[in-house]
Amino acid sequence: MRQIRKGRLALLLLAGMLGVAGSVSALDIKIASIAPENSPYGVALNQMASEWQQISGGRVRVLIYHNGIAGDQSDVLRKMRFNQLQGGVFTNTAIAALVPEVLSVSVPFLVHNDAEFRYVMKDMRPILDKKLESQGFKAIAWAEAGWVKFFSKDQLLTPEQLKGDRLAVPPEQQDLLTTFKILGYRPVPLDMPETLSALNSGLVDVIFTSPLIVAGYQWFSAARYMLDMNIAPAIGTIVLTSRAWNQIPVQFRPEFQASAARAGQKVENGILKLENDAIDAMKGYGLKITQVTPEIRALWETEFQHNYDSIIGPVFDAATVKLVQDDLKAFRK
Amino acid sequence: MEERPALSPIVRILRGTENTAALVVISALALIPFIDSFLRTAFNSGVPSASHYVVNLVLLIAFVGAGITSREKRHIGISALRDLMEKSLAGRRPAVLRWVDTGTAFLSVMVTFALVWSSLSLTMIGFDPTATVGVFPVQLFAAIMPLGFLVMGVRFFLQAPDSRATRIVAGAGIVVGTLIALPSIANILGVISPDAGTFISNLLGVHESIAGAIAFPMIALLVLGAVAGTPIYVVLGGVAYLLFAENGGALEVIPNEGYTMLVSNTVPAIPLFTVAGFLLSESKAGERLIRLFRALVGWLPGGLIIAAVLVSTFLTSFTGASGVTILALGGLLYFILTESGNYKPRFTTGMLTTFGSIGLLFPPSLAIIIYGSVAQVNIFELFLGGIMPGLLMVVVMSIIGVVVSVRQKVQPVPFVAAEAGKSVIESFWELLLPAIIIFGYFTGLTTLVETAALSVVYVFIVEVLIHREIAFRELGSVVLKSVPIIGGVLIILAVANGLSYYFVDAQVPQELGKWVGTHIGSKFLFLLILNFALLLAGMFMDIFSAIIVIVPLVIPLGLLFGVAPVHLGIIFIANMELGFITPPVGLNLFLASYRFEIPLLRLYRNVFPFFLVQLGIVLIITYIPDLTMWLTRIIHLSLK
Repeated sequence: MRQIRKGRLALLLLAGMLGVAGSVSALDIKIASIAPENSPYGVALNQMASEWQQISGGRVRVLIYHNGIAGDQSDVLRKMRFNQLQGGVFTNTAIAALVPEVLSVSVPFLVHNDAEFRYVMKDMRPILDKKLESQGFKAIAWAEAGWVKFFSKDQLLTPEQLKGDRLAVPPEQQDLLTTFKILGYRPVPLDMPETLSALNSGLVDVIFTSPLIVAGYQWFSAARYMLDMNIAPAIGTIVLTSRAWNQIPVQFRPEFQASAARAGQKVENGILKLENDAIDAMKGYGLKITQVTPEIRALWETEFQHNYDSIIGPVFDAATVKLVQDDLKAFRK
Repeated sequence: MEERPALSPIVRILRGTENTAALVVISALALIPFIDSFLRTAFNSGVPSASHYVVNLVLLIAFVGAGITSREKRHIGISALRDLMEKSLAGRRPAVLRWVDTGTAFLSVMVTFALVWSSLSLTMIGFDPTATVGVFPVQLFAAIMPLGFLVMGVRFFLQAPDSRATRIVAGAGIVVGTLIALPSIANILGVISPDAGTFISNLLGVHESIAGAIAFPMIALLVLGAVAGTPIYVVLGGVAYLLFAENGGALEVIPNEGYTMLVSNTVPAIPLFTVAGFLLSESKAGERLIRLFRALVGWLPGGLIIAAVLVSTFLTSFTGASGVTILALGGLLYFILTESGNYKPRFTTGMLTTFGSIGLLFPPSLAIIIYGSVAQVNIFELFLGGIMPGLLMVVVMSIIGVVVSVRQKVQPVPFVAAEAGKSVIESFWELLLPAIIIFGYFTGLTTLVETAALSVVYVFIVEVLIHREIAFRELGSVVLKSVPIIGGVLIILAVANGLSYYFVDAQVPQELGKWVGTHIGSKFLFLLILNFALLLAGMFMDIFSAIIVIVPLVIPLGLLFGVAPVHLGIIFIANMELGFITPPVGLNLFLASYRFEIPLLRLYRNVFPFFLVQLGIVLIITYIPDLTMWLTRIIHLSLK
């Protein structure tokens, strides 16, 4: 009896040790995302996680922390720096902390539509990737994430009208704040959760963000007008730490990269569709869409483009903006 | 363990510097948002990077404050076991108690020194070296964390019982704390000298074996220490630290979670309203308000209590963070109720602690707004749904007030119009405060933080400049009274966030959610488990983190079991409110213990009857969905 017990104990110990050894040799990659699990991001990330696991035969395990549970974007970036997390999904405004050049694509009224965006990103990606690599990060996917628009309490049509309004800007987006200030508008730094109350109380009248955010935070209940005009594209990216990427066995990297690119594509397709659905849904709740004639659009473009000199350089990186402008010239021909 | 009688000049200078730093930071914290909102309103301009400065000032006051909390020995803990020993020993064998205190000193020194290393490492590697707050580097602000922990750690060591053996044990805390922090030290070395490679990997090898061996025994010791007087901050922070050390996580994550919590946009209201509350309670505002309350509601038995419920509910609904109310109004209301109403301290403290968490269901509660955003539930409907359950809490508490007043034969004061008029005039300036708050916030002149800052500036003007009840010379010492509380509370919030991240990292909520989804079949059982799980969460997490972490998991389960989304939201928030006052670690209990200056254990006893009442209300809210849904349905019908 005693003998058997001892034998069993030894077996258990052995199994325990093997278990430990097994978990040591597997590489855990923890990736955080602020998007919900059932959003295009969440679905694409989950699929990428299972693909990587399959490709590596279980040697790489990807754990996804959806929904912002691992912190907001600046927190996730810190956690990546000290290696609690190995990856994160970022918006252009957040990743700009590492590569301010990414904002060059989002200068208001510079890039006009999806096709132009894709064209300029071909040249921008290598620049952004390289800059990230020099700081110890590896971008594994880039994706378009919809278009930023104006939402307002009262109907907004012209730049003149906007000058009288107060515009909510997230406090961490200093570049945007400075841009609007330089251009003579009245930006108010305002935390996202407080925006709904602020719209209701009149602290702000206009918000400048993507329709998905407006739908998600339900700001449409107070900001009932949407100006149907693409101001700037929003961008999403999946970034790993170089440390984690370099730990991935070399033979898996090309397939991982391909899988990540598919995820990026999936996000892009999903988000653009979701954005349309969100606008439709908000219409159901009474959102009114203000159509923009070419003349009105020209009014806005001149207003901003006139002032490009005062924001390009001080706020946006001049060299990459120039690159985008050259690309656009070539593309528009 | 008295202080050594005469302080050396160096110590005096250091203390003076510390006090001055605290006062400067608090002044800036109140003035920057105030000036910013003024400039925006008047000149369409503002203080550059104001909100960024403000959150970083909170970081500063948290750590300068926590250092002062250590100096004043004001970290709170549960000393049940120690008290029991003290009683049963009755003066015999003092060595036993000395060794209990030495154990506490050892644990405090160990945990705090481990945090010194990890926060230093976080400061060096966690931030972009080029990032700034206004014109200062971010790292300059972050450096207050290692500095603050170092000050606290040295003080814990110096406060150890005074003998060579006990000193050695307390000093061993520095060694053990440093050993469990080896990975952070390796990171620091890596920055200083990039080619220290082999040495670093040796360090990490040593750490793995040490951490594996001592993590769980040390956690057991911390749990034991928790009932023997070890500060709550040390227990929560230490458990979090050891859990991450054991599972091979990055140790910087504990100070990082603290940092994230402290620089979040809702926290500045805590120190600001606390300071405003102290200014009010240290002036004669309390006496004026007693006269006012007596004259206006004294004729009604329990009238004072009803007034207290309403005032607390209002402040909580609008600060959104439950517990701020206890810090801001606790002192004042306690004074009013015990002095004027002759209510017993035991009853009053229990009741006021409970009031601190009522109000989160009413507009414009941030908790509801964030819940609506995370859960994708209509925020307006959530507010509608919260009205009846919220009123139920207010009404029940009022009834208790009336019943107790009648039983205790608290003498009603007949209503006299002349006296009422006089008392209103006398407390005119104080009465204007809520009016200013409402006006500023609801007309869009001020944000939440600006409103809190405005309150401090306004109370300063009223009590120091108009009534002159706080002399300008004494102003510093009055404000300094609030600092150990601010530091003690914020440091607990900070490390508690570290502990809750351990559960996030280990995906415990997800696993739990999956388990419930597959193993539970009945709606009734699901709601019961939900009540219990949320109660636990409410004890450890602040409400905003809890919403972000738990809500996404609960939503699909709610759908599965057919709980209406609005109802689920109200259950969630009501449950969190209850969690805040649930012994032994509900966060509001700590705040109340600080504010009312009574030991935690006694507070548990005082709160318990109210806890049971609140528990009953939460169960009613949970199992009678109509209470929540009725108003929503009516409004919907009338809209159609």
